Amino acid sequence: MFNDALKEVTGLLDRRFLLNIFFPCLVFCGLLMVVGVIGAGEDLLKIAAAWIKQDLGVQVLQVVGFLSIITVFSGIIDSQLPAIIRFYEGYSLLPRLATTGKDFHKKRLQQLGKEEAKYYGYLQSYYPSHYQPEQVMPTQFGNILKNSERYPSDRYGLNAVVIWSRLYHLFPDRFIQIIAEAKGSVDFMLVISTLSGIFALISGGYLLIVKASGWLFLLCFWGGLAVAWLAYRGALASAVLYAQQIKTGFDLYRHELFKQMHLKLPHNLKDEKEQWKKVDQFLYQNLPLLPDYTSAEAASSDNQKNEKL
Amino acid sequence: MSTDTPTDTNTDNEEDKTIPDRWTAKLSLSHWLAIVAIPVGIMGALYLFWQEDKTRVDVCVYVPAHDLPAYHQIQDSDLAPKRYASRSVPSGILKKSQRIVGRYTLTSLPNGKPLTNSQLGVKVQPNCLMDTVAVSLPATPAMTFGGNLKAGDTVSITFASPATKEGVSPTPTLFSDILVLDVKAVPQTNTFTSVIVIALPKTSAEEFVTHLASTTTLVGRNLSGKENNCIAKDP
Repeated sequence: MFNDALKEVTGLLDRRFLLNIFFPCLVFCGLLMVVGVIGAGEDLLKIAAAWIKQDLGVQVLQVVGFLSIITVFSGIIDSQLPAIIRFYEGYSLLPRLATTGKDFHKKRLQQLGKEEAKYYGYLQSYYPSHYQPEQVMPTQFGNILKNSERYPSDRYGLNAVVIWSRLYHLFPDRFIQIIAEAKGSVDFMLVISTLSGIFALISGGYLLIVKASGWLFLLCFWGGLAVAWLAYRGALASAVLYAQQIKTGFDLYRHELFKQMHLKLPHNLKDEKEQWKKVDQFLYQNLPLLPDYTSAEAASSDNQKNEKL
Repeated sequence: MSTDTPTDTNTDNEEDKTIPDRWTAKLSLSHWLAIVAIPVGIMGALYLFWQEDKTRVDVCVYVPAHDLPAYHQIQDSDLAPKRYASRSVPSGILKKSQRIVGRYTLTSLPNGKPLTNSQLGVKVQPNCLMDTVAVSLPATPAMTFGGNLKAGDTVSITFASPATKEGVSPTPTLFSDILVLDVKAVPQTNTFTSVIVIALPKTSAEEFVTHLASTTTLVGRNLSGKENNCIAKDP
């Protein structure tokens, strides 16, 4: 059973790695090679013809070498995925850029907040509460995720940052799969956006240095940036779905954490907020404010009573 | 926020709570990206165009001065020079007019586009295609010598009628020194059909058509080594 579960998990990981990281990296490196050849004034067709004429063994070695390089590069990109996400959230931007982005979104949030009834649905997905302008992030992507981060705190008084990593392990497999798919979609778009942006900068710089055709430069530089921007826009739509799943996770499964920690389920929202505050203080600051543990049986019976109530 | 590790950096200072009224608040980072990328792209491209112009070595390439029909013998007047930067000359094209004039087109060619070897037939004598019409014949593998017949070959075409009821075989009709303009494989539903395109003297056209419908067509090639007067020798 464990083997089957493990196989499924690794299968999912392999598929995710191939689709979200490896193929975009393959296209990225392939395009860079093509630009390198054309920029150097070589005839791509002649080079392809010369390659085809090579011995099969040499061809196989070259393909294996190329794929190995792509795999290593994909591994690096995969390991940097959290950094990429943080960058698009606006955390690693230069201070000046961060301020500019925040200014724009604060202003926009204020304008939308004035007509809250009209834009309620949009505000619920795309921004943190307009009563908390200090929570606004420099990018739209960051604001969507910030919205999902603030949601459990605003609704239930729990600290999402502290609770999430514990709660994640209590989700049912099916729900984890749904979240992983939503996250995979975000990752895919952000990887494409990142690689397209890097492609625009590297190919643009290279073509300027080798003094290649101006049209080719424009195609690579503007084309790369345009794809990067479009992929980023795609990531926004995926991020809304992902954020929705995170909020759903907190709504449906937060009480599982109380059960797992052998704590009584709260009777009402006020109690729940108080209890989450204590749990947060215990987990985050090591303040021993937790109520008494309940035994497994007592917790179960109490919890059943609470559920009936 | 990533799946495993949500991130949060609350900054509760006063400045963060104020609504900005700076002019920069009107533009998002996407706008700023566009504002930077568009001029950088334009400046980079202008620099490269300037460099290209500075180091430009022009090459003169002869291209059709007007649209040319298929099986048209190219004259000097059909060509016009066109200048290309040496690095942007397409590979495999015919640049010099000497290598083009006198040859005939194998397909219709648009004006202004450089010519390649595969678009042109062999060089023929100036008068050879005068007063001729291009006629295409459906060909069997036997008529194309199993695929060995090619453009520029000279053949004789014989029409043999079947014997009459009295057992008398009519004299075959021979058209000799016929220039093969092209041999093409035309795709059909499941197979290819060969077509031979020949340059037929206008004077023989009527007689040729009369025999074509009701007789067996034989294509022959002289093996004596006698050269065709029509094919011009390339210097």
